[in-house]
Amino acid sequence: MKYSIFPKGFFPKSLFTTIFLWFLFAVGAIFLVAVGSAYLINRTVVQNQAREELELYTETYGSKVADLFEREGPGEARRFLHEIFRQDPRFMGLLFDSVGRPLYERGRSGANSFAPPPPPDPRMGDALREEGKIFFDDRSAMMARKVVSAGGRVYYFLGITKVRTLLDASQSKNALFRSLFLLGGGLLFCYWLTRHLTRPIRELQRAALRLGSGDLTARAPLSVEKRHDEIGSLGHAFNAMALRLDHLLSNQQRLLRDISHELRSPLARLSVALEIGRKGASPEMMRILGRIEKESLRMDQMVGELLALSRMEAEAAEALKETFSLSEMLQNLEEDASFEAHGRGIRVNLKLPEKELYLSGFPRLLASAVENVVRNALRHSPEGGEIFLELRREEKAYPGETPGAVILAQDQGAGVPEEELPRLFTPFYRVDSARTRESGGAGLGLAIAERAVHLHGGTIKAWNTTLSGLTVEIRVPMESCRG
Amino acid sequence: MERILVIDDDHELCDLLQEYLEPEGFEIQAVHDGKKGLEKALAETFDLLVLDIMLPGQNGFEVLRQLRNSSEVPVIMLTARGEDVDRIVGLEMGADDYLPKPFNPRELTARIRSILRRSRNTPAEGEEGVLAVGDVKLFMGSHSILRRGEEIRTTGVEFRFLQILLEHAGHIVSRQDLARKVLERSYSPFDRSVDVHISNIRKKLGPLPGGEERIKTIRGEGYLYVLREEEEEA
Repeated sequence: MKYSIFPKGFFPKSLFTTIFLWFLFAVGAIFLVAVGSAYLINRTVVQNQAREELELYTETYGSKVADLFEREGPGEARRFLHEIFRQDPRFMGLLFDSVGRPLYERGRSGANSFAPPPPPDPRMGDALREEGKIFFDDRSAMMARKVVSAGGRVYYFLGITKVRTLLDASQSKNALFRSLFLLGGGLLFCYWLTRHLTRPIRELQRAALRLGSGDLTARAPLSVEKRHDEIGSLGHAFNAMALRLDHLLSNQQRLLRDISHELRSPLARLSVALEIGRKGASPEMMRILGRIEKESLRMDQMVGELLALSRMEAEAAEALKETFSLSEMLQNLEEDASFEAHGRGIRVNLKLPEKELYLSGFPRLLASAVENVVRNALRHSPEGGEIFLELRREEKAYPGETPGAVILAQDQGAGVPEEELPRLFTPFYRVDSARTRESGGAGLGLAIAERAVHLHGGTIKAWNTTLSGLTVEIRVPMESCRG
Repeated sequence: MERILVIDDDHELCDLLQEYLEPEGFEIQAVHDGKKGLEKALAETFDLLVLDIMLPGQNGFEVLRQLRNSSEVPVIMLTARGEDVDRIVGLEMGADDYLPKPFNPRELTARIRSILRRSRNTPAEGEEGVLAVGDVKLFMGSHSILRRGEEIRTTGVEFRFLQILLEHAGHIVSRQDLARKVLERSYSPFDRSVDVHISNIRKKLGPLPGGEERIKTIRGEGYLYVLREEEEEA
């Protein structure tokens, strides 16, 4: 359903506003229907009552007044009606002759006239023409009745009575006040109901966000869980899920620590035993022991890197994202790398953007990614070579034109055979195993880098530089950048 | 003969260490759980502790924290390699040095020797030596530090770091020099020991009377103890 009679964006996106407006609409409609039907019912009741009263009134007094008029003249008739009016001022009576002329006007003796002269009301003529039918206006109802006097002459007796309706002026102010009061009550009720419905959803969403960003202790609040409705069971389900996630991750974490401990204990013993064996060993023995030491060191390094690799996910799930300065991170790494490179006569050049670059993410993970790339570059640099590091911000770093940080590391080594490039980031991959092994590393460095970059939603790519050497490029989206 | 207490739950490793270190001239005592280790360390006098972080019951950090409440005995921590956080936390809690496990025992011997030499040598260097810069006074003999008359407790390593910074107050001392002079090893990249120790000293000494940072980090160069003229007179 894409079309709507409302312009785009007419309904706000917030659930609260939407539900609130709908409630308000519903309450308003109900209110109008109720008031309308009450008015109609009331009117019917009032009209029926008026009809009955007028019928009774005209029937009771009609012929009497006509007789009085005929026998004793208009004065008596007027006096009689006046008397009745005094007893029940809701009613007025007028006598007309057979063609509809008012009879009391004739004698206009005035002083004791029981009623004001009838207003020039067009309905009066209608009432006289259609005898027995009731006519209403806002305040009154009238009905004419044909009466035949004792003398056999035809008269019309018109009865007028006041009618009280909902729209009665005396009551309308009160009614308005009451409606406003009701409307205000409805408004408050709608607000309360909407909040009651949307607040737990908000709270759930907040908890989900916190969980998503790595806070494993995030749970739906008790106020949500306590509810007995669908939202309550959603809260329950959410908390059960969060608890399970928490357990799984902490179990994994514990397992990793245990493995790390258990694998390392024999290695630690091995290296002490080796040194004891070295004391007083023959040169031939020393050579073999040296070999054993080298292998044990290699194993230790591999265990370390494997753990780092598998720990990464768990760490990203556990750690909270923070905003940190990429510029500062690169500067620190460059310092460290320069120090290491110095001994081999390698120069490390770093180009930073003018404006400090901030990124929201996991600084330790990203630092280990860049560190591994830089170490890789160092490892493959020829003596006296140069390494170029660059950090820059690109407004359109991604196809979606989102801004990103780009980190480049370029060495002057031998590069990587073109066909091997895609496999560069797979674990344990080595271009030239013998040579790489001499320079250390278990072949996991770039795999670690790739995983860390992926955890940031970024990409890592390598290509051979035209002259010589390898360029590794890391792109990370800025997310909440401030740089 | 120096007495060394090894707290590690790996019995076999302790045996091997004993076998390796005793010919080197150390007396080794080994305890295999944190609580007993702490009791022993407090009850007897040792020249140095080798403390594993991963211990059953009470872990190494807890032992270190309680130990530091009353003792400044030098401590070398054994951490799992790659657990950078462990190592930084350990140094922050007052360990003198750390060694990732598995370690080369020659390296362990070298570090033990270097720490022992420092704690042994300093008194001999100058029995009456007092180094005063601004509101801070270092007493070489007793290894104690006074800041405006108030005693500041530091570990042996922290004392040495501060001593070198004060000796060169107003001048930049590189991380390399600090590592060489205090830790007696060359500064290794990706190792933040020096920075953690300096940060500990900063925390313990607090800022200068004017609110200024006492020890400044000079990016790419090292650290600088700030020297202020008006304090010289005071």
